[in-house]
Amino acid sequence: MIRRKLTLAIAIVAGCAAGVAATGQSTTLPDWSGQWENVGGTPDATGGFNQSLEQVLKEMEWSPPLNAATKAKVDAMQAGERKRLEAVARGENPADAFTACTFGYPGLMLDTPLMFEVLATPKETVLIFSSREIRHIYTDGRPHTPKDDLWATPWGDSIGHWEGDTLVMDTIAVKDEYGPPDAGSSVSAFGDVEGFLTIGILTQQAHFIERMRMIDPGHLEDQMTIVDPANLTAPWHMRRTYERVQHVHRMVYEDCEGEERNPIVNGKFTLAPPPSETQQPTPTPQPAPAAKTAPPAQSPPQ
Amino acid sequence: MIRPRLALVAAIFLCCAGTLGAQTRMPDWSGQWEIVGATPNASGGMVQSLDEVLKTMQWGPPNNPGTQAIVAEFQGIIRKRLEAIRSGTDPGGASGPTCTFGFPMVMLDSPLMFEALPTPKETVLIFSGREVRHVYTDGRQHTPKDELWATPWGDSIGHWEGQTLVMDTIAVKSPFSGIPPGRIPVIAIGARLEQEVITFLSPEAQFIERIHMRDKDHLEDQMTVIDPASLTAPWHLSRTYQRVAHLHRMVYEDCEGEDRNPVVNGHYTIVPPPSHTLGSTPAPINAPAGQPTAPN
Repeated sequence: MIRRKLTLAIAIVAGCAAGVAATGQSTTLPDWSGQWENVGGTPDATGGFNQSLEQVLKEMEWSPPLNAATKAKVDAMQAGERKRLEAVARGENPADAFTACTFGYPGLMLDTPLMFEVLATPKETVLIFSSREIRHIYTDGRPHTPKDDLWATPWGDSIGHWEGDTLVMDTIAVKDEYGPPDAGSSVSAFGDVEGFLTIGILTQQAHFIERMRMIDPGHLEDQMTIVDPANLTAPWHMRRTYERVQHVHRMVYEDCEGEERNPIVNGKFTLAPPPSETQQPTPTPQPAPAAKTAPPAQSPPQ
Repeated sequence: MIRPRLALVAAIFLCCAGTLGAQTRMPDWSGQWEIVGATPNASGGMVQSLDEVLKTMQWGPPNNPGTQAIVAEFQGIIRKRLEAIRSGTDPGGASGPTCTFGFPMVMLDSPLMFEALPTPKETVLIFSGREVRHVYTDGRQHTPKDELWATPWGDSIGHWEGQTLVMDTIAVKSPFSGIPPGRIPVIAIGARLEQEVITFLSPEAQFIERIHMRDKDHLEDQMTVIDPASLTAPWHLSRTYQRVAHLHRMVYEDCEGEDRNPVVNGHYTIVPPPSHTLGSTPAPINAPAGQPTAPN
């Protein structure tokens, strides 16, 4: 059973517009402050998704133009995943169950229950997700990191520029956190608490172009194009919408240990402290929340 | 043996005004920053000895007698543990590498680098251990008590006084284990795993910081810790952060033991993780050409 742990983000964003005092430049940036979540990726109170996998497959835009070889691999993966879903439905616990807080890119943008903040500054925009995954989009005019400095990571190497109020992002060098060293990334649809289906697999040479903008005060939109000739017969276009989360006003990170911090009450996100916490700091030391591979307990560093 | 992983930071900023109605001028703090006096070495530890750290950094907390007693007790425990490690004995209770320093350690003595991104409503400080401080400057109050719980980075609000960001942080909980329950440790860290406990703050500690750019290559943070439960008076500290000149993007530690940022000839370099496949050179990069690797 795969349980991607949820978090709660709380956003704030930034936005704004203004200018670069120290350099004397003036740059106008949009105000995207607030917390955002993927429409269709709404988390439920148990750490899964409100939507069923079938809903997600139907309502979100997928349809990758896979080439024959890649499609054969994906079909085989899906066959296994569907068997696993059937096993879960029978109450069985699949042997390859794992827990993870790292979605990685492009999954973070396409289908997660995480919320995120966006802080836009003239030289860089960051997207901070409630799993403590952070995308850094450098907009200072630099090219991509030179090849001899570059290695693949779960979030890739991103540069960007503004076209009016649209942030155009260009990402390369993406690797699945849990894949082998030479693996690229994958795109999966998630539904229910434990359901997922691989939609596409991409190489480390995949190139992602996104155009992100605010379509109304309550929604951001991301139009993504994936170019990966090794696995796709044509560029793969997808669109995602993010809605503003109204009832959470600060970032609260997942601790990746199983607690649900954001139960939905009457259809709205709420904040709940972890079971180990009280409103006053606890008298019992707790393992650090966090890092994806952090040890279960930590001592002073060094 | 605990080896804090290094990372690489990158910074930037600025800001805006957009729908705020008024133009807000934010300082440009772009670049990567590291604590002066907490230079990481190539093995994941610190370059400076503990003596240097104690001498060159400002410490001197006004511990009350109760706090001082706890500090002394734990300093003894740490000393024994280090002696055991150095003698090749497993001291027990030690954990593996950690990437989480928590606040206030990320500001006071860690080898992590960070970016700082000010925007009118919020400033974030992003550390290479994937620790993030969120400082809300939109005029809000601290999170109400019935929604508040302690975290390793606390609950921060702030405001700008000219080009100085004034931060106010409460509700901090240490990520470290093996410390007095509920206490927030401040520890001086030196080379060769040397550590000295400076104080243990209470969960009620409040932290006021004033951070500004002192010159184009240095940020300064003046911190005042108010904690009547553990201190006899407010504790004033100052830290300076210098610009890291040879790194231009954030590279996160993977917390799995590799050192990604060896120091070569006094400069940070970037080394891909063992799984690196994209680039053609697995050797350190960004190092001045033709120079030998500096000793650890």
